[in-house]
Amino acid sequence: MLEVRGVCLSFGGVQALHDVSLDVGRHEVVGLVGPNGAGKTTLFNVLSGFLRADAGSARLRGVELCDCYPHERIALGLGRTFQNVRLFPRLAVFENLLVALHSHGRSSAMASLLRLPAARTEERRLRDKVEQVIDLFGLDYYRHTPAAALSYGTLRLVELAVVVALGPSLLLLDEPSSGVAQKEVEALGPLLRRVVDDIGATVLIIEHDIPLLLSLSDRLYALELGEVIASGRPKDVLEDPAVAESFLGRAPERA
Amino acid sequence: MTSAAARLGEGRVTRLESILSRRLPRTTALVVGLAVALVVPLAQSPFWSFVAALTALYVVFGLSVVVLTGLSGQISLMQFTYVGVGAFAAYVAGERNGLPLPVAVVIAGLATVPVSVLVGVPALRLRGMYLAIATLTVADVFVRQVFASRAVLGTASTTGALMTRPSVIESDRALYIAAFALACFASWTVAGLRKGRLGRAFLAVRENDDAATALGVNVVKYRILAFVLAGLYPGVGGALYAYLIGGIAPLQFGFTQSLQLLFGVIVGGLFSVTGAVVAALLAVLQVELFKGRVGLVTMVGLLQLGVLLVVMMRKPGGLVQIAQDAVAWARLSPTRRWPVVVGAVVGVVVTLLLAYHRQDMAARVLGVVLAATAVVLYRLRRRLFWSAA
Repeated sequence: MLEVRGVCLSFGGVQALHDVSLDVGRHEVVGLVGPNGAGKTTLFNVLSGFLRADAGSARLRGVELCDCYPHERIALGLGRTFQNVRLFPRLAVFENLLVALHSHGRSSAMASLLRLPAARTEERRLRDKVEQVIDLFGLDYYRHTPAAALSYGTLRLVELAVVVALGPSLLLLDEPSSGVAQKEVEALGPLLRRVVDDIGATVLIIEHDIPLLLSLSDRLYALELGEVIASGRPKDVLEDPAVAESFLGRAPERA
Repeated sequence: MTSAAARLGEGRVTRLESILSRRLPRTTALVVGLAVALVVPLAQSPFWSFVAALTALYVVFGLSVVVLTGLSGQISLMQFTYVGVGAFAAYVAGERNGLPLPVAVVIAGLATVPVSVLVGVPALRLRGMYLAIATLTVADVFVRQVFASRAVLGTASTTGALMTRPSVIESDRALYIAAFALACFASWTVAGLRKGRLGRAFLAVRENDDAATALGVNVVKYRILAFVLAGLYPGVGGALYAYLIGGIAPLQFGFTQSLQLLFGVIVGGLFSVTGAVVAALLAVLQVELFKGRVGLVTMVGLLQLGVLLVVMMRKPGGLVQIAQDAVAWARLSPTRRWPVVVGAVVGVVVTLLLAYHRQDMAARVLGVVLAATAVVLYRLRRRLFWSAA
């Protein structure tokens, strides 16, 4: 599904990513772990086109992502969330979701401006789709609320709904639990599971909450200072001494 | 109605409230309003058609600000440059080359497209103040270099040229009908933007361009499209504007006019067609009707300045939002609050009328007193209106 080969990226003298390669299979949920500054989000930025890699390739279903503009990657089936939620603050939840369906629409600017019948039919179709997503996430109560007026937990939920509305085949989730209360994190796990099963997406997820990560992922990659230092089954990776040291700090010496 | 009031914990419904909140079906109200706007000036002397045509064209120009600044979040100080481009294109096509009016109007619209693209592409990297400065520079270049060039004007002088109206729009009345039709069409397209794919893309880009990109919106395309659209309206309007005024002069299309237009629409309301209409009415009111009546122009100017300050601090949606909020505020406690809102509106209107008819010092003093009273009432509103509620 996703093949990343030898991706390198440096900012000035700092090597943010060094020869990173990883694979994500169809319908697989793969986790990325690593300390702050390991390059996890940088990798997401390269995949989604916000940064350009110095070298290497990333193929989604055989298509080279690095040759595409960011918005074209969305049309190819890529969807991502951000570490700090990025939505449209002054737009209502319903409108936020409609924007997500932008790439599902085909009507031209002219058709939209002149409200041609084709554009209106399409608009009705998109609105029906938004209704489905609102049902799936139980967001009915908030449909007319501007995103800026939502609590952070709800905002996270809306962001997830927005990405799901994109209908991506590969979902990049950047710390879905960050800033969410522990109790809500526990509810997040089953929801993510349900979403993943529901849309049948392949997922690459960055997450610091180990229980959540273990409950979701099939495999893990561990990054440190821009390099992959371990990969494999979640338990094995987390027990890997190098990972434990970089991620959790040096294990206390046993007496 | 009774149930709505009861829900709000207000037992009584006054007659005033029931009259004010009875809703005319929206379309009916719109159709009646448009019919009045079209027929009344036509029934008066040609001067009124002239003023009405000017207003209609101002609406068209104002809509470009609604699209560019309100919807897509980009500030431009060259919207009147587009008017100029349209006017000069119509002059070159219609006056100098004798092309028929429809062709000249289409050329006027199309002439703005290369300008928009030329400005829109570098504008991709600029925001807010910097974009404003860049467009201001372009506006100045156009006034000095393009509009004032002998090659464009084809005359020995560089101060402008006269235009003769084609026979179809020779009278002010005919020209008003054309301008009215253009304003209606432009309003109709802009009103529907938010409910469609194009307008939503503009909004997404305005709100957060990273998030827009992450959702597959081509930010570059829509920022440039916003510029192109915001150039087309004043371009086409500019052709009619030139015929209406009867001539073209470079200094008519400078950044001062653009700045006034931008401020006017900010005061009126940046986010809706109504805002552009309010802005147009205020602008034309000031320029044409009160010509020579210095006191009144100053007073309306002060009023606008006051609204501008309120807008920047509290009400980003301008007069439109102030009106909406006032109605919402009044509805919460109709018996006590409707009289306040109605009183405020009557106060403003009476002040303006007084000033219009009695252009002496007394009227102006009265205006200031009324304004001060309004401010005091506003400050004391909690004690006066909330304690008993």
